[in-house]
Amino acid sequence: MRVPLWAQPLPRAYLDFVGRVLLRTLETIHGIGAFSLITLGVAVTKFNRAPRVLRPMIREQVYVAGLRLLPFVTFLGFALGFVVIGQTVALLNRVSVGNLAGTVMVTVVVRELGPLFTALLVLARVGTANVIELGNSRARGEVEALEALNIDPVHYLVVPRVFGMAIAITSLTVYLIITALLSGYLFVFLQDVPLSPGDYFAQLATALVWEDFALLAGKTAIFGSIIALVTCYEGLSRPLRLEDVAGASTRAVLLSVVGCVFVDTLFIIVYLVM
Amino acid sequence: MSASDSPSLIELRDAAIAPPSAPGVLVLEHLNWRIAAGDFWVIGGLQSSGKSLLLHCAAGLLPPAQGSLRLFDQEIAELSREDAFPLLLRVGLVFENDARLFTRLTLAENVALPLRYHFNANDADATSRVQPVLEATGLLDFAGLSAGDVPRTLRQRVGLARALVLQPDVLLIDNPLARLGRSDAWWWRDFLKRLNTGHALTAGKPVAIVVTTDDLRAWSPTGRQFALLDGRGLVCFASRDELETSAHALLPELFADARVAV
Repeated sequence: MRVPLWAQPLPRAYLDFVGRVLLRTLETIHGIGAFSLITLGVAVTKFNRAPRVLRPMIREQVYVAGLRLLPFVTFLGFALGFVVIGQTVALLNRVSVGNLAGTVMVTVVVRELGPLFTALLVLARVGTANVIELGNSRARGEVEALEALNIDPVHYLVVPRVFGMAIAITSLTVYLIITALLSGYLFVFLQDVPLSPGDYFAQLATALVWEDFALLAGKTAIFGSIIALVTCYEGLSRPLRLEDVAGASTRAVLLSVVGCVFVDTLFIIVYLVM
Repeated sequence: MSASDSPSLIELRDAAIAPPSAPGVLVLEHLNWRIAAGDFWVIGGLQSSGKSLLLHCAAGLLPPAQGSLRLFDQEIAELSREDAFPLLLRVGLVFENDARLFTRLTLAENVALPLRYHFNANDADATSRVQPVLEATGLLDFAGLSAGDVPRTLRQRVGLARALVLQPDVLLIDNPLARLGRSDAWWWRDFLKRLNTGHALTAGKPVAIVVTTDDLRAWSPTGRQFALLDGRGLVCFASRDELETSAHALLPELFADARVAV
């Protein structure tokens, strides 16, 4: 009797492929996990070490991953406001549930879209550059040069990036949310929706609870740390040759997105419990 | 080989060294080598004979695969990171070729980095300590240049300045005369000789020097102790005379390879 197709064993090549992917994934998770713990340990034990070297580097990261992206975040905030907020509020008013606008805005923009959009933007603009820069540093032997000077490479290269990106993404997210909410009302106003600015912002104020601020800060700081850690890991884990750069950058983007979405899912559970 | 009554700065005892990329492959074995205060060692060896690995190991950058490394009479493997740290700071290492400068920093920032990192020096302090080093090494005019723009022939000199700024007791310099012209080669020999006998930069304190080379002709008038990396071991010579009268098979090649004019 012929065995049905669904009951036939998978060709060996498929199993090999799945096994390889699984093992490589576990290896990467193990590597990034160990790297994160090392970075945490270094950040804690050397918290106040070399402030005159580290602080300017953190400020530089905040500039590169934060201030320099302000024009684009402004554009994104307006786009988000016009496309999502304006239309949603107009639609809610049309079906006479305009009083839900605040809750919807807080859920959609403050809790979800704002942090995730900002993290993805920073990842695209700064994350890949980070991989290339660190990979080149490693290939040029600068890591060994730091060790020869008894400077901890993790403390010098990774810690400022983690702090800088965490601060940058948190600040940029707040800016994006404010821009989106303001431009959203502009769209509502242009559409002649019967909603006064007072009512609009009162609804937002009512829908926001203090946990939103705390969780927003926590979530965005974690997003920043994940992006910094993953990109630093991909850049520093081995010397990058020219042909390795594309693969390492792609892997860093993919892993960062997966990490951020995973953390976002955990935060959704917290929001649901709240 | 080294002055036996002088205090020991670096000592390898029955050490074996493996490269970090292949930890199971021993490139150098049974190394017994002692660097004492005031020594001027010249280590000769062919390309890929393990000269850089030997210096990295002696600087504490690469732990020996077997045997032991002692810095300033203390077994480095037995010390905690905090206890080993002040000893490691007393050993300066200058890498080969481009000296692995930090290309995002200027030349002056490269030299000031160890001061700012280890001693939290402010701008004024760092400048006051970096300036004399740059002046002595002839780099003052290039201080504001990005490290990537520093002429190739001066990059290892920047590495030397970066190591000197911490006033080490011993300097390990990897092949400093490689691809240099006559005047640069002369500068290196003269400067290292003055450091070895006591330079104003180190307040007259003699600095022990170790240089590696693949051309012994350039260093034989300057060095005081000599060694060859022969196969997988280190062959030491007590004096210049012993080196020059030796019938070691490697010597004709190392003396004939005259890429640097003396």
